[in-house]
Amino acid sequence: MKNMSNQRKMIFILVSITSILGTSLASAAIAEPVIGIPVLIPNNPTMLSRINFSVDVSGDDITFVRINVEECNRKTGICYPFQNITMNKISDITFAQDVTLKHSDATYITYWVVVQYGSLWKDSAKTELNLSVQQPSDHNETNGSGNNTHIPGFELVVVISAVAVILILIGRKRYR
Amino acid sequence: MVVGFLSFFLFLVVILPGCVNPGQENPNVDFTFTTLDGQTKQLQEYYGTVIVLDLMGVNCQPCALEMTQLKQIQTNYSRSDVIIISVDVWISQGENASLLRQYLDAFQQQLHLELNWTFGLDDAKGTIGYAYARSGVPTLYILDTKGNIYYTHVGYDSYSLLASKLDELLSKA
Repeated sequence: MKNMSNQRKMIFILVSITSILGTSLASAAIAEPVIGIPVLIPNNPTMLSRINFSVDVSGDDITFVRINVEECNRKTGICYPFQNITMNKISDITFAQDVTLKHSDATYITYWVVVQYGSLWKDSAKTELNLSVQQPSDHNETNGSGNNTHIPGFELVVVISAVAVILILIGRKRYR
Repeated sequence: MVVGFLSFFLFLVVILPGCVNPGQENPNVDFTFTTLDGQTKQLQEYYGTVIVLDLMGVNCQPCALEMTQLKQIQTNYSRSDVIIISVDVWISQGENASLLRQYLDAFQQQLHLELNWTFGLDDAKGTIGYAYARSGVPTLYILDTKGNIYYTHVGYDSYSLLASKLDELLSKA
């Protein structure tokens, strides 16, 4: 009889432990968030333009949603460090953020959404978008501050001003 | 008068070298990086052979294309002559060792390309990227056996171009 009672106690303890573990594991396993397709306004952006990204993300325990935007030039095969910007929650499931493109020679962008939920991460698929061609404008100027560092600009201005100042000084000395 | 001319001459000597051709310097490249297995390495530990230094990002599409060209370099050149080091300089952008491992696995599984040279990571501040890949990635350097820059280029490089530069450099040794 005593053995039977001990057995029952053991079974009870085992069942309790299993159920406690099961409950805690179930609560720890958060469902993966569902990331919608990002919407861009304008949908045919140009280089250096400002784009509004919005995306629907549903799921539990979402810590933050980020938009990553990488600018690249297909001709030269260069990509610039991508911008990763936290998106603002604008409704129950919609997140949005404005991103300003930074590179005048970018020909396409790649963008994707990163969601942190609990301590985990989920990336959306990457989307590549060719940038619309803009008519040549002010951005084509070449001076010392431009991307082309081989064209002297401000340095020459400094040298010319220095020559002018020295000539004036020499002229004054002669005059005296 | 003489003082005026001397100061003007001095001024030109200081200013003109940077003005006429700022890209002609041939400095020695050295930095500290972390390998994929967590070791801290100094680039100068690899001096003694020609180094193809590839500064890249996992999320950079042209960098992936560059990998295929680097694989050809690795296949066609002796490792006693040329070694390749790829460093992910987009750690400050959120890339990490785990992403880089996934990237290498993807090459292995999808393209059957084993990228088995040294891979490393920049620090979280992006120190290497800021110093050596400020204009974007991929940025590639070919360094001579003393760590001096022999060739550098930002953007995708073809195998034939890289091979011609390596042949030039190796023939001088």
